[in-house]
Amino acid sequence: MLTLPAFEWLRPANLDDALAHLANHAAESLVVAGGTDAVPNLKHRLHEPRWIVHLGRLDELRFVRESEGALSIGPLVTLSAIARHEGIRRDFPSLARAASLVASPQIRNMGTLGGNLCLDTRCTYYNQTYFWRDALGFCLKKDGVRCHVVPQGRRCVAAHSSDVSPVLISLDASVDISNARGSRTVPVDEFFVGDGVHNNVLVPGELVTRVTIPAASRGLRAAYQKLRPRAAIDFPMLSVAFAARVSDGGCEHARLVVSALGAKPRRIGGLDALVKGRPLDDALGEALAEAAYRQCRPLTNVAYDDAYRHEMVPVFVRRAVREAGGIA
Amino acid sequence: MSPRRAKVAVIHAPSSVGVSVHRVEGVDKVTGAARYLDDLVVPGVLHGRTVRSVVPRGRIRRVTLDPAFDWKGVVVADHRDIPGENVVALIANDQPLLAVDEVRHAEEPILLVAHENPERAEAARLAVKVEIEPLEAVLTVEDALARRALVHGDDNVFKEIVIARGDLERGFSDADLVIEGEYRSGHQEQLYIENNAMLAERTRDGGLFVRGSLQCPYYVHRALERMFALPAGKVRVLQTVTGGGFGGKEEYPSMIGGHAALLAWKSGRPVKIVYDRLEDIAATTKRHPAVSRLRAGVMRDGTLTALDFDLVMDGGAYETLTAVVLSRGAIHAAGPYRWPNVRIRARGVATNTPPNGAFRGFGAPQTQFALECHMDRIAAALGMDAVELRHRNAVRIGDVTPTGQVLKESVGARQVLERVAARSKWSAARREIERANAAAEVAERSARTVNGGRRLRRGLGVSLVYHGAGFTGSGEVRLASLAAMDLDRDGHPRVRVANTEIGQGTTTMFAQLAAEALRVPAEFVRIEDPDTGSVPDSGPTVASRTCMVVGGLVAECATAMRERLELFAERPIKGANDFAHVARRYLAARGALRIERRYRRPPGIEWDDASYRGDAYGVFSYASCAIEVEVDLDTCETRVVHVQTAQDIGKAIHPVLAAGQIEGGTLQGLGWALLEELRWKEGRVWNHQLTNYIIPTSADAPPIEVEIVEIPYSHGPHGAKGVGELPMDAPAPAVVAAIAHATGVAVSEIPVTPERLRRALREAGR
Repeated sequence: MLTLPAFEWLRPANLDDALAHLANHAAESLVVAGGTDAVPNLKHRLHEPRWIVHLGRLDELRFVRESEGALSIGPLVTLSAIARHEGIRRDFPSLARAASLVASPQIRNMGTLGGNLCLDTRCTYYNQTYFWRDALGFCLKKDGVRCHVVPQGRRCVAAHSSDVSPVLISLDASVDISNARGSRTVPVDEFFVGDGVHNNVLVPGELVTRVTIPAASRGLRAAYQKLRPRAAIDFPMLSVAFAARVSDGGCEHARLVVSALGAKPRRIGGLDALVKGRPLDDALGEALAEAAYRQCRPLTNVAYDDAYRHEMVPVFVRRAVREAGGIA
Repeated sequence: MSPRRAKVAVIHAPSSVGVSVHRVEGVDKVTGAARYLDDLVVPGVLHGRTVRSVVPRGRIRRVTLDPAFDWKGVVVADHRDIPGENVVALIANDQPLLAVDEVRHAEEPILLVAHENPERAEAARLAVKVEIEPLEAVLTVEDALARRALVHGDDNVFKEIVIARGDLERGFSDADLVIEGEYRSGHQEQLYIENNAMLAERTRDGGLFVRGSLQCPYYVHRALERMFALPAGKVRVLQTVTGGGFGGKEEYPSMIGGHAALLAWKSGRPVKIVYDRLEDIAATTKRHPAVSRLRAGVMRDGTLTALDFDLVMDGGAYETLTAVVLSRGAIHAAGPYRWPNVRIRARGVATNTPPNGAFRGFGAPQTQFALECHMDRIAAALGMDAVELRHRNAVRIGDVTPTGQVLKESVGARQVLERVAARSKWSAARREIERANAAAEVAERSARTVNGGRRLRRGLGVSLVYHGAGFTGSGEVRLASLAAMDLDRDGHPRVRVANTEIGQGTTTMFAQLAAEALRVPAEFVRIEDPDTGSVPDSGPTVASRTCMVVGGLVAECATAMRERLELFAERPIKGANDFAHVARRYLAARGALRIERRYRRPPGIEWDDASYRGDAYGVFSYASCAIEVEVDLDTCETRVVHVQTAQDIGKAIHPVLAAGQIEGGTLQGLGWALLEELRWKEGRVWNHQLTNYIIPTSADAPPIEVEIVEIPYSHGPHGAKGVGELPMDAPAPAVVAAIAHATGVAVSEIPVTPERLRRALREAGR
C-alpha cells in the first residue's frame, strides 16, 4: 500500500509559533490545514518534508468578519462553512457556489479556504507515484528537468485546480500574507504566477492569514461555472468566474477569469472596452466568449482532451454571463 | 408482550424463500466488526512487495540488488525459488508466477521482496534494478491481427471459435435490407472497494495456509499445489471477509497468493501482500476490450433473416481465461432473438498488455452491446420502433439458439420487454420527448431562451439481453460440484460449501434455501467459512451459478437432512427448537450426520465441446432496460435521467438482495457506457487512481426502478436462475440508443465521453 513518508508532526498553538518555526525551517516543512490535498501528495512522495506543520489549533485564522463593507475570511474556514455561510451566500454567491462545488461533502468539511487557494497544481505526469514518475523520467515540477507536456518547455504547465481562486480574482479580493517579520497584502490577481512548480508568490516562511473581499465588490453580478466529468469529487477540467458592475447605463466594468487550463488563472484582457455601457445579455456573453476562446490555450496537462476543453471555454463563459445576468 | 410480537409468535416456521430476511453478515460489516485481510494481525508477519516490468515486452538482461542498500532483514525471491512449477495454474497454464528471462506485459511480476517493516519493503522494491532489453510490443487488437510482432504462435490468436447455424447466404438473399456496423468497447476495471490482499503461512506439517480476499478458494488451492509440488492435503485456503470481486478476484488471487506463499516458503515467516489501488488497477485483470463487426439481414416487416458476427477480443499477454470469456461472448452474440441463419466467428488475440480476465458478464456484455446497438440501426433503417423490432424477433419457448439449443422453459424475453415498455410508457414517452426536442430546436433557432440557455435534448433507449446461468457447455459436469451439510453439537445445521460471500449476499441466500427445506428460520442455519480445510469443492463463485447450481445442492442437502431426522424421530419436525432437540438426540444416538449432494446434469441437457453445439446453458435469464438520458449539445455531456428495468431471474430468493444486484450491476453498466476508460502510455496504465479512473458517484446515480419477473426454471431452487451478471449486459446499449434518440447520432464506441460524443456529432455535421 502507499504509505506516508516519515515526518515530525507539529501543531503550533498560535500563529506566532507557526511563523517562528517556518522562519527557520520553511524549506523542510509542509504546511497542512485540512490535509485533503497534502495527504495523497505525500503518499506519492510529491512532498518529502521533515516537518508537517498542522494549523488546526490556530483558531485566530478561523473567522468570517465584516468591516466597513469589506468581508474578511480566515484561511482556516472550511469550504463547507463558506458554502453555507448566510452572509457569503447573500453577498458573494459565486464564492459560496465555488466552495460548494469542491470535491465531496467530506472533503469540503476538512478542506479550507486557504488550502484551496494554495492548492498544488496538477498534472498527468506529476500526480503519480514515485515509482511511476521514476520509470517515465522525472518531470521538471518534481525531481527532474524536462516537461513531458511541452517537451521543449522550460516552465511547468501543471494546471491550477482551485475552485475558489478564479472567483476571488473576479471579486478583486486580496490576501494578507505574514511571516515572522511582518505582513504584506497582495491582490489575489497578483498572488499566482505562471509557473506550475510553485504557482504563487509565497516565499518560504510565509503563510496566508486572511482573505479580504473589498466593499467595492458588493453588488457585483457574479457567477462561477465549473466543468467536471462527474457530479462530485472531480477537480475542474475548466472553470470560469465572472463578475460585472451593472447599472442603469449597462456594464461599467467586468472581470472574467478562466482557470484549470494552465499554471495560473487567466484573467481575460481587454474587457473594459468590450463591456462598457452594454447590457449584460447574450450578445455580450457571445463577445466575451469569443475573447476568452482566443486568449486561452489548453494543454494536455490533465487527463482530458485539450481541444475539447478549448471548445468548452466559450460555452462556459456564456453560461457564466447568463448566470451573472440572471438570464433565465 | 406487544401484540405485534404475539402475532409473529403464532407464525409457524415462516417461509424464508422470497422474504428479505436480515443479511447474515450485515451487522458485522456495518459495525466494523468484520475483519478484512489487512485487519488481521499476525505475529512476525512480513510485508511483501512485487518488482514489476516497466516495459510491455522485452528480455530481462540483468537483475541487480543495489549494493548501497541495506538488505538486512529483506527476503528476496525469484523464479528459481519456486519449488514446483513456475505457473499460475488455470486453463492453458501459460502464465508464470514470476518472469524468467522475458516479460510479456508491463507490470509483469519479476521478483519479490519482503520485510517486517512495510516502509523497508517498499524501499527494497525500489532498490532492485531490472535491466530489460525492450522488444517491439503489440498493444492493440489491430496490431495483433496485423502481426506487427509475433507474441503468440504464428498469428497472435489464442483461440478461435466459430458457431454456425442455418444457411447464411440464403439468409442474406432472403433479406430486403442488409445492415453493417462495427462496435467497440474498452477495458473496464472491476474496482471492488477492497483491493487484492493475501496472507500466506508455512504450516508445521510442511504445507501452506493461505488466506485472502478472493472468490474461488479451490482455484487458489489447486494453483498452490502446482507451484509448491504439494499434495492437496498439505494446502489450505481460506476466504477472509471480502470487499467485492465482480470477477476481479476469480483468477488473480492465485497469483498474489502464490507470491505471498513463495515469500513465506523461503522465509518461514507469515507474509502479507496487500495491493494499493494503483498497483491493483495497473497490474490486475480487466474486462476484455472487444471489436465487433456485424452484418445483419432483415425483411421489410422486421423479420431477422441472417447475422454474420465477427468478434475480436484482446486477451492481453497470457491466455488465462480468454478462451472461456470469448466462448461466453460468442454464444451470447446473437442475443435473445430468432436468427434462422447465423455465423459467429470469435477470436481472442494476444497483446503485450496485462492479461484481461473475468469481469461480471464475462464477454456477454461486449457482444450484446454490439448486437443491441445493431438492432437499433436495423430499426432505424426499417423505420420501425425499437421495441417492436425486438418484440417481433424475441425468443420464445421452442426457439433455437445459434448453438442449436432449444429453449424449453423459462423464457422471459418478451415479458421483460413488455414490462419495461409498459412501465416506461415507451411509445408515449418517446413521442413526448421528440415533441420537446423539436420545440427546443425551434426555440433555439428563433433565439428564444429555453432550458436556461442550455441546448438540452432528451432521449429514451431500450435494450433486451439474456445471460446463461452457470458454466458454459459441459463446464458444470466437469466441475461436479459437491455441497455438504452436517450438524453442530448443539443441533444447528451447518452448510459446507466453497462459495464465497463477496457482497452479493451468498451466505444469506444459502441460509434461506437451507432454512426453507429444514422448515426453520434462516438465522438458525450456520454457514461454514469457505475454507478448503473444511468445505468440499462446490466450485467457484462465478458465472451466476452460485444460487442456481450450488443453492440447489444446498436445498437438496437440507431436504435430505430433514428427512433423515424425521425418520429418526418418527414424526415431523416443527421449528428450530424441535429441530435442535431432534438433532442432538440423533448425534447422541447415531453420531455425526453429514449429507452430501453432487451436481448432476439435468435430464435433456447435452453439449458437444468438439462441435460447439448443444445446450450451452441449462437456462437463460432475461433483462430489458429503458434508459432516459439528457444530452447537453454544447458540452456533449450525457446525464442519465432515469432507468426502468425488468429482469426475469426465475425466482428472487431474497428480493432486496436480488434488486441490489440489479441496481449495482446497472450502475456498473452505466459507468462502462459513459465514464470508465483506461488510458495507456507505452503499454502502461497511467490513470490507475480513483481521481482519474472514474466511476459513477452516488451523485451520478439515476433513479433505477427494478421489476423482478419470476418465470421459474424447473432445475433451479424454487425456480431460481442467475442474477449476478445479467444486469451488466443491458445498460450500455440502451444508453447509446437514448443518446441516438436525443441527438440523431448513433455512436459505436463506449464509453461515450463528452469528447467522443463531440467528435461523433461533428462528423455527423451537427
